[in-house]
Amino acid sequence: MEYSVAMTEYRHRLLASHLIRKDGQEDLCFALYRLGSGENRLTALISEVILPLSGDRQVHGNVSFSADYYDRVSSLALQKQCGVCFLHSHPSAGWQGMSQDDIRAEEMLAPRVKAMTDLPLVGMTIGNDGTWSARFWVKEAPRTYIRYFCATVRVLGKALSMSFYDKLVPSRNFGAEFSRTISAWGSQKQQQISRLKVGIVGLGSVGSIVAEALLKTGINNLTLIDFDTVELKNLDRLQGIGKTSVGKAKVFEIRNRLKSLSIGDDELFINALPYSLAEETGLKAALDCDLLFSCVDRPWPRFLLNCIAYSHLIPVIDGGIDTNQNKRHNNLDQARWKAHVAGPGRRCLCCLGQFVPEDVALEQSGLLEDPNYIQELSKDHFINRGENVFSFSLGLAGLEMQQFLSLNLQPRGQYYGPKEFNFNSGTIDSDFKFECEDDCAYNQMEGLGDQITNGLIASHPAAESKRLLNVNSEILIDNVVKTGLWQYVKRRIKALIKQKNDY
Amino acid sequence: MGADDIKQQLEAQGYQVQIYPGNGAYAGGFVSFKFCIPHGQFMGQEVEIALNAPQFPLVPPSGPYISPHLLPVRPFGQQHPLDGIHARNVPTPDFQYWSRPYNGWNESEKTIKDYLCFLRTLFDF
Repeated sequence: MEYSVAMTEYRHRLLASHLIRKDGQEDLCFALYRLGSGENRLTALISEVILPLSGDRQVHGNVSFSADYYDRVSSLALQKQCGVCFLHSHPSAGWQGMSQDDIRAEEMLAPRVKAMTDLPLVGMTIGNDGTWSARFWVKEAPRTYIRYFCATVRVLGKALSMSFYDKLVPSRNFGAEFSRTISAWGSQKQQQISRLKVGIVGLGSVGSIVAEALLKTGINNLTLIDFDTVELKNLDRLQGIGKTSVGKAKVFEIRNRLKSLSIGDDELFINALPYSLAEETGLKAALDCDLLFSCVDRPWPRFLLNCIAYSHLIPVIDGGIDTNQNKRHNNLDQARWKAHVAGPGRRCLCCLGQFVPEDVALEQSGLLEDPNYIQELSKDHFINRGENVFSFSLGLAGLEMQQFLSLNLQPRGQYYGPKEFNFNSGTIDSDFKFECEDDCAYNQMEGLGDQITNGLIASHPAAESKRLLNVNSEILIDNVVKTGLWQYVKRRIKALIKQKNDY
Repeated sequence: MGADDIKQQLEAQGYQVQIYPGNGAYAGGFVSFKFCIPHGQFMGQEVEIALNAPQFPLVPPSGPYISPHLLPVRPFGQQHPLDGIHARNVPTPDFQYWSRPYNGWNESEKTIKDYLCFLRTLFDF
């Protein structure tokens, strides 16, 4: 299990302005956190900062706190069913280790916090340059608490800022093959960007290009989530995929393609999952990522990604293409594509109009997988709108990569809002509202973590059916192991009959 | 979120609710209540309405499940009231599923009160 902490930029600023003192002395405070549980990563999502009141702590070079302060924190944690985070500062820069005094203080707190909240104590230290380090104190036996350092601390707002623990997320080795990239923004930024765990949900025309662009930018840890298989009709739009891939899972075909392109010395980690984001495996894998690309064209996964962006503080880069033919069906009438980032401090996908809840309900009801039902839908329905083409997908993937780079690099501190390219006029529109509507429910999910996403996991009959029909040996073995051979054969026959009836 | 919210809000409106467990695609189960049809050709008839909306109020029900069967099953087409009526056998075989997305849910208060208003319009034929 990997450990991590995430917080909003607002809370980071509040903490930093309290903890980093002008007189160079150390300071402390407490915060509350909620859990975000991925498949392989546990994240403490800082939900509330509890600053000391007068007399709550004594600053004397080092710093100590009063029993009253701790009691106040305890009762709030109990009342809100949150974990407790103990934070202090060091008067030096970079990732911080722990002194013997630091260890003793947290060792003393860990059992009290665990007994009260049933959650591990999270300790955090901030350096005087704003770099965070963190650890979980996990009870592994009676009176035995083990300290696990966090691999990362993520701060999300207008920008994404990461603190990495080098021992767990080692610096990358870049040779001449990345010299041009590094010459654009320097090796420090390259180390920041390249150590991100990036997820791509939807490996269609846009997702397959984004995957390759990320590889060329130096990212070597990718999670690919898509239950779909390659069909003949996809071949004019999927980057690097040819006829031999037809009938195979998109995620595996794109993973193989990326592996064949690997350009650096470092190993490429690609977690390819032929699942829907709604399924537990897909959702939990997404929660292991530092950043997600939404390359989907359906409302249900967009809704899920929107929930993840706010409740787990994982920025989601989303985009969409809208095209249609003219009335005489002899030319393109219009095309436009737009990209934006969803997450705290930014406009959510629902307020941006990227999905409406009733379409999510319709997709969840399963009817959007029924070819007969789709045939009866009006031409204006989003499912029947004009399809994108490879060149437009290139344009959108480019806009999404620009959002990605802007979020991470923030050149001159500038904030990049939503952008829309109008193909007819050749202009880029950026005149969009940056904030959500006042009553936005997604903003109110900020940092609630598992409390939100545990209620989102569902079975996805279309994804299950695709996996049953898939001929890829990895999926076949996975299916047999999970359900047993006899169950697998029965379900596969059923899926084949259904497929025959549908078409 | 989900069935608990629906149940709580229906009870606050004075309805007696029943829970039907659900699994697979119907995880989260169904919340049902007796509903007297206020107008139209079935006016005055009491039916049982079951709702499945695991992410309510973020996402509204995609349509009501209605017992007893009121109209012939006709899954295809978009014309209300006769089209989009499915035999799904959930929560029990006595229910029909009427696929009726609530257009404009985001602009509503997103409460069960809003959904009941919408439900009433479905029988106005």
